[in-house]
Amino acid sequence: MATIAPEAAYDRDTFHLVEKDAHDHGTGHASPVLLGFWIYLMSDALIFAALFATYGVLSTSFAGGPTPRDIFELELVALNTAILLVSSITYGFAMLAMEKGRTRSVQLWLAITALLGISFVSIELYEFGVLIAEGATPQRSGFLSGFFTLVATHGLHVTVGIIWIGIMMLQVGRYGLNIVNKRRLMCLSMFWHFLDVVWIGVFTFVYLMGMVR
Amino acid sequence: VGDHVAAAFTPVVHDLDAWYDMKSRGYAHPKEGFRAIHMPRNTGTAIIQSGLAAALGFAMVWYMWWLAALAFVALVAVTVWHSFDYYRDYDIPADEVARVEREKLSYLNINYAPDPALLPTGKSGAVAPAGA
Repeated sequence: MATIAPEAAYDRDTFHLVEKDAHDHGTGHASPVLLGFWIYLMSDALIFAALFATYGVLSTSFAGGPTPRDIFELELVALNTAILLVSSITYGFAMLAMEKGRTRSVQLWLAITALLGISFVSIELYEFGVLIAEGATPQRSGFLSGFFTLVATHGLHVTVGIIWIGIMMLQVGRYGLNIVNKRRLMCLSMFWHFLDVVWIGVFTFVYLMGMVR
Repeated sequence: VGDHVAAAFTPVVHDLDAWYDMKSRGYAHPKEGFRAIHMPRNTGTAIIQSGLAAALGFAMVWYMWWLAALAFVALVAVTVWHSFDYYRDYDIPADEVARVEREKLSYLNINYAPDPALLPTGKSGAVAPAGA
């Protein structure tokens, strides 16, 4: 029978469709979870965009307090940047090992990445400690409020990433490189690289431009 | 697990008044060909996380640092706990789907095989007189 309605993609006498065979939910390579994770990352990017904009407005509001030139130690920040960039490479090696199905190797590279992440957060906390000891607290000026909010939010993300890496090392060890764990490693990879990209923004706009001004 | 089958099949609609259209064309409920239905398992994790996140937000607004720390740690702990649950879906077996469908149709008092003599012919909306 000829169908008249253009939207009628089914036979005119078909009134129901049979349920498909048991299909894969959120575990396969074309998993909807990855799209969902991208949407999460973009919403997280909005948070950072708002914090960058806030910092941009407040970055010269010193209220008679210290300026970036007075308090930033560029050598320390350069070291931190290098650590975070190298941690992205080591995470990449973990993903290569995952593709080859080498569980031990994945765990090893994850451990190295986590150690680099811990170094990064430790140096950042040390930097915060020095600033606060000098009296450059978040309450001192608009510039310092914006600075601590932006940088600490990034640091909190890295901390959560380190916890996640630890969990993945445990789960890969216990359950192997199954399809769910591979997907999780993929999401964690996106998360970790995303934090790296945000840090490039922090390094450039907060530290470098702060020193130039 | 409490299995509740809402619909064994995905309906296909051809007309504004789909039910009238189906009756006009002599649609009969299927009595075989049921397949297993893939389902997510129930979990209360999302609502627990929401509650903890609300507590965290409240604590942060009012500078209640002890509650903020507690809620944050609890939030991370619940999330990690949930991540160790790898069995998140199941199938309703085809037999079960068929049984529920049979039960439903028996409530509705629908005959499996409509009398061909009562079926209308053609498409033009001509329907056999009701109660024939």
